[in-house]
Amino acid sequence: MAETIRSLQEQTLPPYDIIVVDDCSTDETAAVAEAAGAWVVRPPKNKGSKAGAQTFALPLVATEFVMALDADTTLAPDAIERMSKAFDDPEVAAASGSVIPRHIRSVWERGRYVEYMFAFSFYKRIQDGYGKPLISSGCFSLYRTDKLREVGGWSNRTLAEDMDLTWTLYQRGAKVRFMPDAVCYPIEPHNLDLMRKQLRRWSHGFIQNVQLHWQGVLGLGYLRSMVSLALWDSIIASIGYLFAIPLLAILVNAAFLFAYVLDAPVILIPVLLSALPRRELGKALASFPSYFPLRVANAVMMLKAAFLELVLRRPFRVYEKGH
Amino acid sequence: MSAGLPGAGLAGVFFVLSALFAVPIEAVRTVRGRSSRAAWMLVTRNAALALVMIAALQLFFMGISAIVRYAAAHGKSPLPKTLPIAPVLMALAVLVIVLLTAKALELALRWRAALRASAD
Repeated sequence: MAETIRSLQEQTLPPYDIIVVDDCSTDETAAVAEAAGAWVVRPPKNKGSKAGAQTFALPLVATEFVMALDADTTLAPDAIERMSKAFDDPEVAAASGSVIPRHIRSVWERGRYVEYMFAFSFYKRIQDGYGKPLISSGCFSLYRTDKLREVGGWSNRTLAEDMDLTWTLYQRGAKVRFMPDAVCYPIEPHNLDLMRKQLRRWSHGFIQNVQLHWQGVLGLGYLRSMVSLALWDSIIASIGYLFAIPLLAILVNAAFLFAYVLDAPVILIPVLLSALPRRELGKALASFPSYFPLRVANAVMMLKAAFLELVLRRPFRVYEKGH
Repeated sequence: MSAGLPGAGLAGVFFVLSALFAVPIEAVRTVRGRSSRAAWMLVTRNAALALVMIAALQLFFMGISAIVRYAAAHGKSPLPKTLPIAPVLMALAVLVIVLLTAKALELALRWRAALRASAD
């Protein structure tokens, strides 16, 4: 927490105010934040989610722009300045930046490192080129305050409040940008238990957002394509990955196992290209095998979420941050 | 963050195609005077990356295929020499079907809304 606040204070474009929402924590969060120089606010009772906590503090914001930042996420010194350039366009309501795990040690952190390097150097830039980044990441995003207030802040009707907010903004005609040079460093889950909690939140959040927004999203061309393919990949590709490939390998030919690594160069090329300027080629190569166990975990969690939400109609509502 | 989606999948194919299609789209924007140097840099970067990714995939497949052929005692390998066309075409066909289904859903919704409006 102190590190996060310090990274805000040391920005080339520092924020006017730093508000920390102490959502009825039982540790030293408030004391640490106050000692670091932040304005600490505490709701009368726990809000039950990050969205609830952030929306609680929204009426206190007196500036034209407001930034959401997770407590475990530090920023590159010029992150806010680089991200603020997105708002030269008056129609832009939200912007997000690149995310790189702060610690890259365990298999899960390494897998996430590869996943992020791939997504932020390839997918996200293309999405931005078409004017439709899929999500303005909840861990670090900047918003035009009035636009955020118009939609009621962050909603806790789904477990992925960032996706909900991004798709809501699109449906209201606002623009969202991705600024690749604005970099943040969150702490990622370092073991399977924490990763499972995070993936469960994200998977259920995605399915919940599809259920909530599908009619609105259908009218937004490129977003419609991305969401329909994401849904396909979540369900059909997961079934293929977890069941069809092993079955084909056993019943037909072991060469079908090759399908598990067929797209390895497709993933590896953007990862290496973005690791190169960061002088992290060794780290990227060493981390690459960890991407595959994470992909299996992704497939399992996504399939489970789709089954619970769409078939059994048992929505998951408990917000578990993990660490 | 991503939504925790598994791997490259069909979405991966879609983004590679998106990167390539962005070039003619940007050319049209240039003709209409709505492009910029920054936009061209982004489009060129993404398209070049997509082409390198396709080339890397083909080379990877050829390499694996060569290894499998070498390892097979009597030269009978289950893998073809280069990326087989049929699965690639099948993936593209599925991609088109998914996108068209989404579009059809949108049109159906619009049609239903128009019907309701005329009934009112």
